[in-house]
Amino acid sequence: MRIFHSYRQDTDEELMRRVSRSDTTAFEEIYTRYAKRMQGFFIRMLGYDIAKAEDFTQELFLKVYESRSAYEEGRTFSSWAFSMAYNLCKNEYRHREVVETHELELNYDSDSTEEPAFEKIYDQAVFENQLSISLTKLPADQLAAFTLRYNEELSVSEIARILDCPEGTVKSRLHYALRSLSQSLSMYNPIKP
Amino acid sequence: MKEDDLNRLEHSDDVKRIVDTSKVLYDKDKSANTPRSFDSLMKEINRLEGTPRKVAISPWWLVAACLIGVLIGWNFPFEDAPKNEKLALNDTVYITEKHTDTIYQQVQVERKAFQRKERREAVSARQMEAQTIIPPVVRNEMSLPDLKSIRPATSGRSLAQENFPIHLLVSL
Repeated sequence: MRIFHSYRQDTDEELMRRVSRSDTTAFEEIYTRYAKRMQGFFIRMLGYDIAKAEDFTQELFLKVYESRSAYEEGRTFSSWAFSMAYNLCKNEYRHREVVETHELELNYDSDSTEEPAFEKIYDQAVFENQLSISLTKLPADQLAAFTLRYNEELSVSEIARILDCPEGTVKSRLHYALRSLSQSLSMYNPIKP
Repeated sequence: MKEDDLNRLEHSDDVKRIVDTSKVLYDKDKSANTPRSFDSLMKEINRLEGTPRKVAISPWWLVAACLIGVLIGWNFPFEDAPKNEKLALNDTVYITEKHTDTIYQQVQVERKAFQRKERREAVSARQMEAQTIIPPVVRNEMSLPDLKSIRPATSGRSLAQENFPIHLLVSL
């Protein structure tokens, strides 16, 4: 047994092997590596609800620890963790009220039809704000695909494993998400005439 | 859907801007919101599992504690103190209590071994005596005083001119 073993050099999968033997230090290393990423994902997926994102991050790592023995060797930890995170989000969406979603859609429509002031069009801050709003309006599967592909920079095959769908479906979701965002932000984008 | 459509869309300028800005926002959100501490997570895990958290002492903490101990010990003035500062160097010491260092315990001697030895010696003496049975006449002769000797005779009389055994000469 190595007493002064450094976990920082270990891969995520090696760490998970240790976690499956109830190694708390290895679990702490995993948490250090992934807690921020997961929380960022939850913030995006849960409509910038920070408190809920914190709760979900904690719940996710609880689930990781609970199901440590079920971790399949050979599977990358990131895709395993993200698939669990996505499932947590899906459960949350199911619990959300339909009325609330409907109201948001209405607000979104009214926002998009509103003409912005000319001087605000080229403002980066306004663009960022509108992008945030537009992202929350995307369907969950498209938002997840978008975030994992362009923010987490995962490959299409990895996203397919996480979302449990074929690669073609991931590509079409990405295509729809990009087109939708492009259309909703067209008036804030100075590049596009 | 063709893959080319997605590639073409990804490489368009407006989508590039969207992707880049979303990445900036994503990173900003991640850095602005720190997750809860690992300790709180472990507390929650222990609460759910119903087991108290093990107190884990890291080897690094042990090494640090040893180093601190050495440093404290190194700087502590055990030998460096001047002699005149020592307490009670020239003081008279009164002994108020007498101290017993050794307590002897009485040990029972094993008598049997001694008795056996004594008996053996007595028997051997008797055997010796039996072997050296001397007739009375010879014994008398043996008890004659040696003229050259200064030792007293076996009868107890000292060898001298006045007590020379004339009666023995007469009997011969």
